[in-house]
Amino acid sequence: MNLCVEYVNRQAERLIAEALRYAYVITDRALRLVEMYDPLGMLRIPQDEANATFYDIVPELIGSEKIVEDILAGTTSQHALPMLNRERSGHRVDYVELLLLPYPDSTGLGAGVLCVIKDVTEASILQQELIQQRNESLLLRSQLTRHNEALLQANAELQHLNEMKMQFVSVAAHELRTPLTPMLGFLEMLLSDEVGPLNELQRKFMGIVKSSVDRMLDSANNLLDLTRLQTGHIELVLSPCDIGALIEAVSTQYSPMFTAKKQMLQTHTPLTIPPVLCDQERVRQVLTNLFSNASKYSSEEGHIAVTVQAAAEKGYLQITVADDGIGIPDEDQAKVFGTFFRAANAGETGASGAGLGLAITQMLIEQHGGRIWFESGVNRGTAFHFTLPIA
Amino acid sequence: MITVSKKVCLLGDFAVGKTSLVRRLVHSIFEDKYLATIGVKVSRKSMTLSDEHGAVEMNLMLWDLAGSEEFTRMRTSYLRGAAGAVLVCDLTRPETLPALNVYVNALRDINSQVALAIAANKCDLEDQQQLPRHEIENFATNLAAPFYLTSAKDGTAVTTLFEHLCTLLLQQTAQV
Repeated sequence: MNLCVEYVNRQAERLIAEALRYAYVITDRALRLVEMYDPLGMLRIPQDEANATFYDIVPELIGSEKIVEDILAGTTSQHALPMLNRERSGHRVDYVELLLLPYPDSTGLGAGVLCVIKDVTEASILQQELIQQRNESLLLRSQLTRHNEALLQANAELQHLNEMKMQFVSVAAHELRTPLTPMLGFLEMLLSDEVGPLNELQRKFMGIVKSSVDRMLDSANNLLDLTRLQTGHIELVLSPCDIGALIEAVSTQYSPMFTAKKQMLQTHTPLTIPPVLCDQERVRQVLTNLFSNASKYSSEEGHIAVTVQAAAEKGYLQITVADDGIGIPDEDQAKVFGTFFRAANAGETGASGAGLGLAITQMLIEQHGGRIWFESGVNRGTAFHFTLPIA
Repeated sequence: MITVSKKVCLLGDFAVGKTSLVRRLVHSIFEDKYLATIGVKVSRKSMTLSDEHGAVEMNLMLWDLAGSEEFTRMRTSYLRGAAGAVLVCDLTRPETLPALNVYVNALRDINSQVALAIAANKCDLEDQQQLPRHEIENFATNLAAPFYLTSAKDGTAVTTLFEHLCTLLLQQTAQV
């Protein structure tokens, strides 16, 4: 009967051990093995089991002898080591929890050490996977933050260099322009015969000199405008403006330019259009740039049309300057508003330019709150459209 | 020959290379893939040292502790009984150096005489270095601990660092 009870108890104990996945070791005070329970094969069994000590079975505690001594002496009631990794073959890792307790004798005094080992591999593997993913994300984030900081620093350095470049260009343009003004004044005096008559050859040469001075002055002014616009140093003086009248005034001013190439300029302005809110001098500059380009890049006897109409955006007028000139090649169209850019076919008409006019024009229009765009095709002409807010 | 067993903990933030340093020292191998450690992994390494009294075999029980913050609560039970520690930071992540203070405080709460050495790891990643040498020097000076620029990948200074720590552990044993 006793044997039967003992057998049933052992079976029950084995089932509980399998369900809870635990094993234990009991030692005497000299840490010699007294009893070992390991139904799942979790412990490291030394070859010489009879002479095995506690440290042969739980080698992780070598070097931690003081803790075991404290347990034996009763100065420490327990010592737990959660999630102890045990490497198995093939990169497999088992995780166990280890609990050290004093093993009391019949009088309740410490007769040895009880070490309970619990297998927690299943839950630990899940935790490892979660922590792995979290740590990889943190590493990636830290890497991105460092890259971002490096980019910000590089950007700040580039901005500083750009500011230095702008400052240099601005000073250089100013210094170039200053002597041009008296040169132009004296040339005009010479050409108007105020200081005596010029012969035909002298007049022709003086005309060439004046034309070159005009171009230099134009380039210096464009460079100054560009640096001021890029550094935000141009403030618009806004007021209501009759755009139709302004177009007529600029057309009249530049009519000699069109006449010289026998080009026809037509303006289409509705009879009643509301005034726009703009800086008249700056819009005059925009129209001048667009008229000049239309003339330069159109052949003799070409047609140029200027139209004013309501824009698609409510509260804006749209102004279009269209020509039937050489057009802009498709591959150059994205770069047209860039600085110092000239289309590949720009030299075909013999026109000169630094490639600043359209960059300045775009910045001026955008500073007004408008937008500028174009349609073009090689030998199909170009139409530039821009919008300005109604006053 | 005398044999001395000592528990040595490897401490530092996650992914600084603690497990890789142990693998390099114990198995002379390195794996590029990062595998987060959870809990603690104990490895054994015997090193023979010679001094004026003869040869001593140091039986190091290397406790590779998880660096992730989830294990802060468990750290005290892992640190109990530690005679020495290798504090590991990552030369490509400057924040991992000051983070070592937390581990030093936890260690010293348990053993004020603990022997320390610092491993500034990943010195092979030359183009990604973010930690200036003088910062590591200052940190090491404050702790009165030696420091080494190590690489678990190519093995630079790994054995030297542990040998130095063994010497400190022996001196500590002699004083006791």
